[in-house]
Amino acid sequence: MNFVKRAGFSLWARRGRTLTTFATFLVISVMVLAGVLVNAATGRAEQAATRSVGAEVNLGVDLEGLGGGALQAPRIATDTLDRLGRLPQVQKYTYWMYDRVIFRGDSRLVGAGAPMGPGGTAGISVLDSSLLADFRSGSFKLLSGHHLTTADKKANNILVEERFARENGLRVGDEVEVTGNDEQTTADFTVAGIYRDPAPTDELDRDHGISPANRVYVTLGGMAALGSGSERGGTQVSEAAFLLDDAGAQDAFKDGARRLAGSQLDGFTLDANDKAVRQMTGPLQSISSTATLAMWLIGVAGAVVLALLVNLAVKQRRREYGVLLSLGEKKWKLITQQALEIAVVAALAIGVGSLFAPNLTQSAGQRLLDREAATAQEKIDSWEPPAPGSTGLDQGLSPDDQPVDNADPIDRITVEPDPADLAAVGGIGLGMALLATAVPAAAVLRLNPRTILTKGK
Amino acid sequence: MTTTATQASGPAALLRLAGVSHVYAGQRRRTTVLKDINYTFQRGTFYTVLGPSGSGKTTLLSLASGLDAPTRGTVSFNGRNLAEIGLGRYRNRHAATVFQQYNLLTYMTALQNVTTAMEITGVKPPQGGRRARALELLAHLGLDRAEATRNVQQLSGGQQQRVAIARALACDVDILFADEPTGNLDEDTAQGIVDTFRDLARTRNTCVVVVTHSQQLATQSDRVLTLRKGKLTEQLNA
Repeated sequence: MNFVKRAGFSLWARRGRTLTTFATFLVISVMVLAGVLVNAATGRAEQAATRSVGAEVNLGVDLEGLGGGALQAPRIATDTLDRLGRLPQVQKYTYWMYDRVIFRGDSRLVGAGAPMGPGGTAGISVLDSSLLADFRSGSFKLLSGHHLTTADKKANNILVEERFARENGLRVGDEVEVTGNDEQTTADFTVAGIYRDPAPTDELDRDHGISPANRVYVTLGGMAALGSGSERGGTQVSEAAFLLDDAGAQDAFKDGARRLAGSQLDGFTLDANDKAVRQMTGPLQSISSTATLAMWLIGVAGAVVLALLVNLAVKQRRREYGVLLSLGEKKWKLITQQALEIAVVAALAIGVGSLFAPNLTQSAGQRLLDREAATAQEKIDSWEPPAPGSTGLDQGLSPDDQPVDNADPIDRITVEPDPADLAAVGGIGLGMALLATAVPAAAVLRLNPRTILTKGK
Repeated sequence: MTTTATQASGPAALLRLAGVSHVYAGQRRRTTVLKDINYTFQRGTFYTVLGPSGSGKTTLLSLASGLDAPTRGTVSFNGRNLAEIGLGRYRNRHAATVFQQYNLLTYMTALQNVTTAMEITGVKPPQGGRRARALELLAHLGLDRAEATRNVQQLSGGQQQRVAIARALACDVDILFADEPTGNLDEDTAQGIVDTFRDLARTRNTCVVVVTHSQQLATQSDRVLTLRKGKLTEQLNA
């Protein structure tokens, strides 16, 4: 172990160089460690956000695949969707379709001022209204009664908006007579619940072209009683939402759904609705990508500087190698001595760096996140819906721009040093140092001692 | 009186150069430095090698000490080709060299240079340990304890030369090579070194080979070899 003692002598005698190498390693390891820690912290925060929001996969009509010539949107059997709902990844699910419903008697549409004509209004037949996105997000609120659920799937129940209920003097438990899209089939319905949609009366529902106050929800059985949604012998719908236990299971669910439903999914899309997660994690992703970029830039630049430093040091020690070889020292011991010297410095630097990198990262990362989160929140707060009667597309607004409620951007990260991260950075640092040592050392040691000792003489 | 430097190997034969030639290949031309040298160095003998600058003295020393391999011919130690023994092993166990440029480990003290060499060559620690032996050798060569524990870069050229000699002596080898070992020393110290070499040859049966320009040093050796135009000849001392 003579070379270990020599390494110690060398490090101590060349204190200036040792300190320079230590400082270089310290800066690199702190910066790289900071990048790794920020990424780990944002990753954990994203996972937590995803878990808190849950994951949703929506089945909808493939409008792009539909083409201009199609007369009717495709529909899918509820039996098939029930089978998809029993896949292990699914926690809850619902499905729905739209059709025209006409309230009989003196029923009036909100804002029309006259009895409901043959145009009727939009009825949405739904398996479980409580699982519709607007109710889940808290945008719509059930004021009285109960939701339409699987329990009353076969009953003739409806859910009406509070302004419609007020206009027509309806209360929970009241009976109304409704005619279906064929304008002939009529059935009696019970008002199961009254809900509130905060959208103004004159702001048209983009999906149905009606005032939101006139939208009603109907049970599947009720819609079937009106002759709608039961083509080809079974109940059929056009949209569904599957709520999954784990956001990470989206792909597994989609694969399972495609396998189970096969060609029945033709004409439909299965899309993950991760808008809330994206809204919450946007600032995190921003600082994560900044940290990753900085980490790589500093890592690569630092590695180059370090490699040059070590390379220079090795070349300056040619004569020392020659002397030791002339004494019959083994080449592997010379390389090991050099490697040991750099490894000791690297380990010390990484050790010291890991002591204060977490605090530094917490402080810097939090400051970055505060700025990003404030910008994201400002964007959400300043969002204005399109003018009544407009889709907003002409103003450059996309439906996707609308912020999701109850999904504030995450503005807090917690940096926790993970031994695995520290070990990874340490391993990479040491590997880098050893490579930077071994390559020039091996090149020098290819020479015989006479050549080394007489070169430049 | 001179004779062609060829000797039959006898019972005291230690190192034999047989048909040794060495060529340096430059970018434009090849320079033959040593031409077909045949010579056998004996145990317990103090040799000096004389010759003008550029005659190949240092090259001869490099080949004989195992720092380099000859372009042609063989160098054998105790009847075994150095290529077979391994140059590194030969240098480690059997030969030591005192360089003209000292070639000390500059990040160590004089004492550490000597003990490090002892550790590398695996010299059995003498009574009192390596440190004591190293201090004794350095003291014998005129370096006191304070100088011995000083970084070698803080020593004068002559002191560094003595550290280099102490390092070689400490390795307790069969054959000791030295390239101009007294060039940087005052007369008294130089004589002390020569006495040490002679003593090594006499009492420890070591073969000592010194490359020098000094005729005075040569007169004190057992055998004087002259290298001229790549040829080695022996001058028999009267």
